[in-house]
Amino acid sequence: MNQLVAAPVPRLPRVNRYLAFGAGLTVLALAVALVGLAYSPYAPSKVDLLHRLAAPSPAHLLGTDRFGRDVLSRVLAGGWRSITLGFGATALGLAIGLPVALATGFHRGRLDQIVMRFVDALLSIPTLVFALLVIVGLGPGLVQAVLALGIAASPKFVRIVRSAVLDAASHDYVTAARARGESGLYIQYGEILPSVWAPIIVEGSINVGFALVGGAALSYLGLGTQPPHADWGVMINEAQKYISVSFWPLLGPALAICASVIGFNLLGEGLRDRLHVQRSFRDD
Amino acid sequence: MTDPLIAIENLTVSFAVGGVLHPAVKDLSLTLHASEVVGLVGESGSGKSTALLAVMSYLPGNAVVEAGRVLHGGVDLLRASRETLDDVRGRRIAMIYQDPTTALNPAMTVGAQIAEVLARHLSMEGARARERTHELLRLVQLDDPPRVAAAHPHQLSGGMQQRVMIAMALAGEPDVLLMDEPTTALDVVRTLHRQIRSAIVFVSHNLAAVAQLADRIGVLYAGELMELGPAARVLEEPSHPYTRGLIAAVPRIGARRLPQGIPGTASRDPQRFTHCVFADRCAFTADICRSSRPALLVPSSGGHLSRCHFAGEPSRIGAVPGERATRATHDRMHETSPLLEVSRLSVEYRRGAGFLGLGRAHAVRAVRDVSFRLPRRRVLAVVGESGSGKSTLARALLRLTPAAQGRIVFDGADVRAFDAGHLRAYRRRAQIVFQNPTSSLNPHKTVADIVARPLVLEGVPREDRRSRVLATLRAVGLTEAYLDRHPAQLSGGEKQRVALARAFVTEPLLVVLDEPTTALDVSVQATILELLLEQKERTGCAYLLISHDLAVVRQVADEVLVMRNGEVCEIGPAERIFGSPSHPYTRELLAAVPDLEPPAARNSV
Repeated sequence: MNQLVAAPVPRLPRVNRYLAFGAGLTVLALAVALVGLAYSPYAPSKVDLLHRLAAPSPAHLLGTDRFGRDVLSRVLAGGWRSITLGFGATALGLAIGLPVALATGFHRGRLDQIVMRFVDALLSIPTLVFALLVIVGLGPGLVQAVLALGIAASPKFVRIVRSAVLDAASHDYVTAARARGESGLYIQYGEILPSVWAPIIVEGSINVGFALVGGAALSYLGLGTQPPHADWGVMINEAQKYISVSFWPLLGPALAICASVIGFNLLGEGLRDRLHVQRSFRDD
Repeated sequence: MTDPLIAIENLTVSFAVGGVLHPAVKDLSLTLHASEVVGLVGESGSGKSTALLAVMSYLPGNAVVEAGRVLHGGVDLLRASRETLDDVRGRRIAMIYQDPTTALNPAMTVGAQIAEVLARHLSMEGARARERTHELLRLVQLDDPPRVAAAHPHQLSGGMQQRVMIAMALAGEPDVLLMDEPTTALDVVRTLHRQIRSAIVFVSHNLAAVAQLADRIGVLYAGELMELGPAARVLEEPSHPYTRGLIAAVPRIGARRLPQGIPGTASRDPQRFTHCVFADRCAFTADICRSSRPALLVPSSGGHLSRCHFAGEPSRIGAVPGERATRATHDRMHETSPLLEVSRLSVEYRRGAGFLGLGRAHAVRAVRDVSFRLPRRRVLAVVGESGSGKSTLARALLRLTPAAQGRIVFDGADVRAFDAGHLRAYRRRAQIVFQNPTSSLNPHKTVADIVARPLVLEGVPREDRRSRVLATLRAVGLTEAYLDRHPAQLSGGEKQRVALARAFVTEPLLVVLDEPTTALDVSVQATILELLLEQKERTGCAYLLISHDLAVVRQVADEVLVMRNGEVCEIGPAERIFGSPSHPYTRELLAAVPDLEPPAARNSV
């Protein structure tokens, strides 16, 4: 048998711009949260009724809100709560949703039919209402809000990831794994999971933003972050009532949420491209 | 000679991928005259599809026409306005696509789709259009046109859909038909061409299919036109080493000889056109081949062109490929107790069971009462059309699908009675290789991980794994350099070699080959077949070869089992099945295989 000479390896993109940009934004959001734990220019709940809804100035870089509180200080101070809420709820939702999606999509059959009808029933409840139902049982507070939003998000993850699992499971490499006697768990986590990263990343990063805003709604009802503390969602919620007077209080927290969501999304996509080479060079 | 219907002049097309231009077609010139059939043959990456799409001016968005033009009626189609193209496409030039299931609209009746073309291009409506639709369907040899016209695509068989698509292409009464990989409807097209005499350009990877239809054949390789000439000349006196290699690689049903592969893979280097693109794989490469690009030369007489420096000196590039030594048939005296013995095996699917299986289910028998014996070191081929149950049979043997009835005895043990532990042991000794190597390798793993995994399962210690993986990779013709690659960085043939390595690394006794070469290029297919036979000799395993390609089966099988609708039609030694088939269905299958020789009927035209 003639030995094949290894053809030159197609070049992979060395510096992935998504990855760099996404990682930068994510690091920025995390840095804001960390800095806010230790430092803010003003006390975040210091009221200054003489400077209400002020535009940005050297004294208040992001302006002030309806009580004259410094927006930058509140963005910094609320950062860790928002990050915990957004990423925590998403991580929890995935932690519940992924195993269910992998098991049902891989095994199919009766279990799949029962679980998926149940998931469909849960999906028919609006996420926020579902979160409220959970929090009624748990009581108010940040940790409870994370739990509530995470549990409420999980059916959505099951639905979306399961369809990707079904697609991946139809590939011959899954049949090949079964034919060589791999365990079901190995096939789910070793063979299928790497193939379903794309929907996980897209849905996960969207959910980070959703959890932030959902957390604000819970806080508004007195069930999430407790006043006078703030998180980015709460700040947006408060500021939108005064949007006709001044949009400055909205800008800071909105930018912070945008940066985290876009950063997380790009980071995820970049990681996927980086880790999982799927470039095809077909031209015919 | 009259003006050509279509003249492709010095066409160079590249694709922009990641900011780099990858040339797909270089300097292609080709003419098509009225009622002529030109076949372009090439393997993947040869640029044949790009050439075909360029004629329609249907190139994808990232295609860049770097030079050349496509003339039709004095107009350069590559630079024509949208309006001009709208009137040319479907009316003067029509395309017949490879896959009717995606080319036909599933939401419209077949008749309505044909009527659309009639209304758009011939302003034909109402009863006249209906009548014409039926005429067209009759023209493509479909019975009962009114019934077919009223059907939706899914109500028709694949073959009927293909004919409908041809009828649709004919509706605009085009002068030129373009066909992408016509494989199943060859006979229809041939009869049709005798009746309507429109010119046809078609592309195919299948040299035998091209031989059935074409007046002239163009051979494309890595974007270059390597050889062009009258069909009989190109097939019988090929003057380019690549064409010769390609012909030698085609499995022939008429002769039991091993097809011969061409080593290596086609170059994708954007700079490849500075020399002969085939130089790396050619057996007759000289210095000039690596330093200058050959021109299209006339090797012998007019109308025949070859892009080889030695086209004028046929003796320099060896002899025309002749018959190769016949493969030694096995000595039947050595037949021992069978490795695999299957008796009265049936497999059922439950259909229509509904939610939680509460509905009324009915069992569909996919495989019925199949019995056979497979001794060690032998190859049993299971042949049949898609839906014949041959893949289900293979899956049932490996217990990937439960069997309903019957016995499977492997090496003396009852496979259906295996508990989890025995099943695991069985699966190490019975392996499977799939048709599509892209789907059978996890794109997220490296070659090293893929090939080592069965050893991990077997509990082979880490330090021994590497040497066994390397030994197996070498046995399938790969080197250490491949260890860290991902499947996306491999060619189709290389991927299939990795899949083979994964199957052979645990030294199985039985390997199920599910259409192992169908997804591969012809020149690679031959190499893989050769490799499979080599592995069999090396490891002493037996093969169960699932295939619909009788020409491939002819080359490697000892025994043949013909299946239809889940049942065995005929089983017996390969020589007898191919030499004197007793079942009418087997004869039908054999008659449908295209061969390289142009059909005798064509000579009378």
